[in-house]
Amino acid sequence: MKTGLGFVAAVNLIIWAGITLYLFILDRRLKKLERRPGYRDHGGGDG
Amino acid sequence: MHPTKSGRWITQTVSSTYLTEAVAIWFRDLRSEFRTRYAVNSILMFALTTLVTVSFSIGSFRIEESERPFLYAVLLWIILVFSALSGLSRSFVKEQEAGTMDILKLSARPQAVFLGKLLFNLTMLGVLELIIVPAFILLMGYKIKFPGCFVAMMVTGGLGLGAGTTLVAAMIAQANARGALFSALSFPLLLPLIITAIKGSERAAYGISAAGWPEVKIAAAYAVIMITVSLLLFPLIWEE
Amino acid sequence: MIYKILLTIWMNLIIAAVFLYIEPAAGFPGEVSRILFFHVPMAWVATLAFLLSMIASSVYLITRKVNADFLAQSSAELGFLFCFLATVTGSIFAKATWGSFWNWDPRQTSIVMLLMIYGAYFVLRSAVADHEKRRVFAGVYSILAFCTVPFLVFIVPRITNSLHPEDTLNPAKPGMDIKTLIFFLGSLCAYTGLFVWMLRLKVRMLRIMDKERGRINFHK
Repeated sequence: MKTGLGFVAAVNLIIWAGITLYLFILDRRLKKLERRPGYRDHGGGDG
Repeated sequence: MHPTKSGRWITQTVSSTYLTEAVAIWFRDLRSEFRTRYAVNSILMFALTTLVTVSFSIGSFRIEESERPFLYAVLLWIILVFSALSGLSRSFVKEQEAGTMDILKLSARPQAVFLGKLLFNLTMLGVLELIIVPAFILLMGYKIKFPGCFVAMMVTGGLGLGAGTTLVAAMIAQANARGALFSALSFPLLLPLIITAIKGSERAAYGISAAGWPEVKIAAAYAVIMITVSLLLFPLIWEE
Repeated sequence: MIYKILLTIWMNLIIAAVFLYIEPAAGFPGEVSRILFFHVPMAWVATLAFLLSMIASSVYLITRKVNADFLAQSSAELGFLFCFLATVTGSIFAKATWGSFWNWDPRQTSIVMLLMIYGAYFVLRSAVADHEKRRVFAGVYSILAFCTVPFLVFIVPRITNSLHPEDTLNPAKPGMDIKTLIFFLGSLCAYTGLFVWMLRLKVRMLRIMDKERGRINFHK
């Protein structure tokens, strides 16, 4: 039984690693886009 | 320039109240509906077609006696709800299609417009129920132990249907893809009401003690809350 | 940055502990109770997200700040995602404990309601072309839908009986193992942290998309 649990845990960890990787990459990509000269953060009002 | 300050042509009195404006819009809609009969025809045809299909395929004896109160309540409310969804959006969509939306915005206050349209929709629902419910009872052999409770359930259920859909109709009139959108948006809002109405009708038909009243009260509370919230929110979508 | 790395490590720990360290809770067949460490936090995050979306919508309607609407939209989308995941995990759990994937338990009924309401919410958003109108309509619909939810609380229990384990994993229950409790609360925190992280990414994404008017594909 414990070996089966180990397998499930491994699958879960791999899925979690995939999710984190995706989120970190997305974060970097967004930062790059935000740093472009044309982009300003607008704090309010309708754009 | 605020709508309330500008000239109003519907009532043409200086001291018109919300109610007189609403009634004026209601009567105007009824008159135009009486000329074209578009909404009432589409709703009734939908309802009658469904009713005939149901009655033809199930008949008055296909379902066992003990199952009838519940299954008939389900069938009745499915017919009523989907017929209502097929036509109630007309009240606002026709303004958009005829290009009279802006005139309406200038000529009456938002809450009055909402109340007028609500009254119009409730009239449509009243006509629908007055024709479909007796026809359903006759065709299907629906025995009801507590007619008073059943009528109350129909009335409050109809009120709830009108209250839950009028604001959605006003929104989808200003959106693309109006036909399908109305049912898609209204259905989640109506779901609690439909469940209540089915339960209430079933209990009125069963008649184990006079116990349909809690459902009647829940449906009435639903109608009151939806009307109140819609009245508060309607100016937001109307002034855009 | 440090918060994100800590969250990553913490979530790894939770996953490992839930499967390898904690004993399965009493009263459930076999190892199925382990899924609750993921199911309950997902349901909690979904609730939190929908509530946040409703509040942000109201704030948008009052202040008309675009950022509030970005928050409302992001929160609704993430809530939908977590709600869907909670439904799936709950269904698996139901199959293992009660023998069927779906039986219209009150919780299942209300979760379907939520999924339908927010499904309609996204349909509405996609159907209105004008930006400001879309935001106002979405906010109005969100509030209107929120007002119908309390009725389910009255109606649904009158119709079906709940099979839901009401207090099996309630932290206030004295019988609960301290080890289990720590990891259960830890999982709740981890999922909430994940939600906040994803939410902030999504809001930034919407902000850039609003600037660029859909010329960027983030998933390329």
